[in-house]
Amino acid sequence: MHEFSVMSDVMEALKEESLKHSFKGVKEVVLEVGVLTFLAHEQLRFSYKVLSEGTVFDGSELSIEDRPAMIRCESCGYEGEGGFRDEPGFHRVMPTFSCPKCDEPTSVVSGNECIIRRIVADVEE
Amino acid sequence: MHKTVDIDVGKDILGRNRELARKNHTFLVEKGIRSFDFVGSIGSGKTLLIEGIIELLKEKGLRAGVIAGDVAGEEDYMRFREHGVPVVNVNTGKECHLDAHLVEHALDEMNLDDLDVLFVENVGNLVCPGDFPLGTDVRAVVVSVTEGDDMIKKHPVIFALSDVIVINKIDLAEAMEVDPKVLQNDAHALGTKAVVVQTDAKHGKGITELMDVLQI
Repeated sequence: MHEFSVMSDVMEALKEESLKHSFKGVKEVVLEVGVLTFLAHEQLRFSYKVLSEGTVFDGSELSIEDRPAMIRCESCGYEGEGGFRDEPGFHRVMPTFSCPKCDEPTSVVSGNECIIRRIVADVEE
Repeated sequence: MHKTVDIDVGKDILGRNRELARKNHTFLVEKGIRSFDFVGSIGSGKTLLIEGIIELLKEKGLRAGVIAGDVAGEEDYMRFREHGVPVVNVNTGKECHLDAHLVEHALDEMNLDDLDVLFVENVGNLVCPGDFPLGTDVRAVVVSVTEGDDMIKKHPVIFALSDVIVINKIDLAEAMEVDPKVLQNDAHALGTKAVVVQTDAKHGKGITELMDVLQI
């Protein structure tokens, strides 16, 4: 729902990078989007296409990679990926944050980011 | 001549909101104010729950303030004002959630010196607020039985990211043919530390229990 406003912030940051490095053309932008965010990839792509028009990013490829949900268990010290469970009663694969080792409740450490990971661009030699 | 470069940027766009949220949190902690973000569907009973808590806090000699978030209108703002507490109305216009930046501005507008507790009522929405922590001590998500027994199944992430899950309007459970236990079990199935409380805000039931969970 807020993909357009988030992508507007992404574009601002991309334009800053472009100014910093004097991009002559951009081939690819790689975004890492946490699986716990509410950012739909298709809408991010659409927003990118619209917002990059007329800029040096126009026509470049937007690649979106998932960032996993990481959890920490204070009971046994486990730190790693949270689980997803395909429960028959649930409408979709749902996240489950119980510790895979000791089954105690855990804290979410990450998985809620939207990171500009890489830009592949042409610059003056 | 041009050459192709591959630049590692590593900038988290949602991180800016989280930084502001941390700033809000530090500010509120320094002021000695306990703070709560109430999220939930439109009509889940967030406003009435906060109103109920405000009145019970008065009996304890504690003073609350409210940041009332809505897309438009002053309805909730006017209701909170009736309780004689400081209120800032935040209309997002188009956005589907409050963010830490809007809360920071609202805090600027509020006289916080006499406050013990701050409530932030988020825009009614079970999706977008999930990406925007505000910097409160606790996020409570409210779900009412009138929404059906499958809201946690439909929106698992926002429930998983909340500290407290309030199942409201349990007085209507029978009429709605909804078993609150289904919601209760779904909440536990998420495997987080969230505490689940059942309330009937209309008749003031479960509010004291909720306040115990919120530690106020």
